[in-house]
Amino acid sequence: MSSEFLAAKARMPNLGIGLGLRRELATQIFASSASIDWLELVPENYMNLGGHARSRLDQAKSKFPLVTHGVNLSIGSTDELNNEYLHSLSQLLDYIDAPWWSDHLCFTSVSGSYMHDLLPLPLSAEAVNHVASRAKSAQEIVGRPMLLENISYYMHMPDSHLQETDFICKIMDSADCGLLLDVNNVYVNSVNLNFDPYKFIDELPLERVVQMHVAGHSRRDDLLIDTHGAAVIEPVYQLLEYVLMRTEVKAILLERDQNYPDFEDLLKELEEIRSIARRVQPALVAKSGLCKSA
Amino acid sequence: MKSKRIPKLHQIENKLSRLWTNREERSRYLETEVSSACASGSVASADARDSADDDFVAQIDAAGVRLYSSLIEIGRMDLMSSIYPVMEELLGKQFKPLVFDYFESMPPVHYNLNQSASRFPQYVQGLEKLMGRYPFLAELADYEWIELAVLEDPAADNQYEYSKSGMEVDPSIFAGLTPVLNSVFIGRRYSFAIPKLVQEIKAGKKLPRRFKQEPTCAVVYRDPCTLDARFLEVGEVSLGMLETIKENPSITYGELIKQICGQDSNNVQNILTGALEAIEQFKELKLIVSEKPAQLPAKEATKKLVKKSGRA
Repeated sequence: MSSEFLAAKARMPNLGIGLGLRRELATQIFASSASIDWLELVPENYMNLGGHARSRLDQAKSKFPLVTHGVNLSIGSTDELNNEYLHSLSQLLDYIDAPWWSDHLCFTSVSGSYMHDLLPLPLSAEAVNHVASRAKSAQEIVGRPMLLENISYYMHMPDSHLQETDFICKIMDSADCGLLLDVNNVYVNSVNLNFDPYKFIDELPLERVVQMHVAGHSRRDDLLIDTHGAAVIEPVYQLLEYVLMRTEVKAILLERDQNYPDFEDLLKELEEIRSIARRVQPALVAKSGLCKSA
Repeated sequence: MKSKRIPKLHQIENKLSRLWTNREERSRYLETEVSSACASGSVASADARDSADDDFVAQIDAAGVRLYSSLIEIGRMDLMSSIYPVMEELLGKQFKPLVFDYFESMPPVHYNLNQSASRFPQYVQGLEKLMGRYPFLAELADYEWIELAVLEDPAADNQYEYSKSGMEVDPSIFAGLTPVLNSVFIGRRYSFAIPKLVQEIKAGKKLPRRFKQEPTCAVVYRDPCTLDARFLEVGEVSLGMLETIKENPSITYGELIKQICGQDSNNVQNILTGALEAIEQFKELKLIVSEKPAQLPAKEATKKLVKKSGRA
C-alpha cells in the first residue's frame, strides 16, 4: 500500500540529538548550541502568547531547528477537533517552519473540559477508527506530517480487546501518520504491565518512526511513573539502540521536565545518546554537524 | 435477561473523566467498589454501581481511578499554587479544597493550562462564607491573576524610546504630542488596599478580624525592556489619565490635560501640576513608552524630541 507519509519521511531532514526547551533550562540551552542539535517545544506554551514566551521562542528559532510536541490536541477525544487550537498550532508551525509536529496517542479533554493530563484510550476498534479519522483530519488541516507518541499508562481501560501494538499499527496505517516512539514509555509500561519490551517494539510499525524520546522515570508505590524527572537508565538506552538498529529515524530527543540536575549532567546524557546513534546509525548524527571523530 | 451493550467511546471517556475529576462521584464509586468486592469476592457488578452507566463500569480499574485522579489533582494544585501564592499563604489548609471545588465548578475549557486558573476570581466572588470572612478575597485573586495575564499577553511589546534627558521638551511642542501607551497594561479600581494587603500577607503579619474598605487604584504592566510584570499603586486621576490614553490613542497631552482639569474647575492648578508630574513618572516607569506628533510615526517623533532636547 502506498503511503504519502513514508514518502514524506524519506524527504525529512536528519535533526540529530535534541533537548526539550523548558523555561528553567532556556538560558543554558541557548548557551549550548554546540552540544544540542535541535529543540522540541510544547506548542501550548507558545501559541498566542507574548512576553517571555515569545522572546524565548524567537531566541530558540534563531539558534536551533525546532519541532513541536503538543499535549492538548486530544486526538482520542470524542469532542469535535478544536479548530482554534489547530489554527494557532499551524501559525506556530509556519513561524518556526517545523519539518513535522507531534502529539500523544491519548485523550486530554471530553465534553468540552480539559483535564491537562495524558489519559489512555480503550484499545478498541471503535477508538482505532475514531482516532485514525481525526488524525487524518488534523494532519490535513495543519498541512505538515504528524507523529503520534505511544504513552505510558497506569490503568486497564474498559472495552480494550486489542493488543496495544495492534492498536498503534491500525491507527498509523489508517491515518497514514508517523510514530514518535518513546522508549521510556515502552519500558515503564513493560514493567508495570509485565510484558517484554523488545517483543513490543518488534510488533510496532517501525518504518513509521520519525522521532524518538528518551527520558527518566520515578517509582511511586508499586508503579513506575513517567515523570521525566530522573536520569535515563541503562535499559532505556538499550531499547533506544535496539530501535536504531532496526529502523532509520530522523531525530532523538532527551526529555527532562522536573527535578533538574546540573546542566552538565543533561549534556552527558545527550552525549550518551549521541554515542549510541554514532555507533548504530551514524547518518543521524553525521548530518547534524556535531559528529565527533571516533 | 439484560442484553450486553457495546460501550461507546464517549461514554467511557465521559464516565472516567467524571471519576477522575469529581470527588463525590469518585468516592461513591470507590465505596461501591469496595463493598461489592467484599460481597462477591470479585469485581463489583454494574448493577451495584450505577445502572445508567452500562456494563463497562464493571471493567473500570479502581486503582487506576485513584492514581489518575491524584495525578490530575497534583497538576491542578501546582498550577494554582504558582499563580495564587498569596491566596494560598492566606488560606492555608483551606486553599486545597477550594481549588478542587473551583475545578469541579468551573472545569478548564482551554487547551492552555494556565488559562484553567482564569476564572478563579469570579468563582471566589460567589463564595458568600469565605467572602464574609475575607471580603477582599476576590480582588486579591484578581490581582494575582492579572500578573499572569500581563506576562502572557500576546501583544507585541512596543519599544521604549526615552532616556532621562530625552524627556525635556519645549512646552509649546509638548501640548501637541500624542503619548504612546505601553501595549500591555491593566488598571484596576479595588475596594480594598490590595497591594498593601499582599505585602502584609507575604510578610506573615497577622490580619485584623474585620477589614475596612479602602479604595485603591492599581496598575499592572509588562516592562517592555525586561518583559517582567510591574505593579504600581496610583491615584484615581493617574489611572483615569492612563485609561483615557488607552481609549483614545490619538489624544494629545494638551487635550488630555484639558480633559482632566475640566473634571474639577476649582482645583485646576493642583490638577495640572499633578498631571504633569504623573506624565513624567509614567515615562520613567515605561507606562508611556514614546510620543508622536498627531500625524507622525512614533520613531520620527522621538527623533524630533531628542533633537529638541539637545541630544545627538
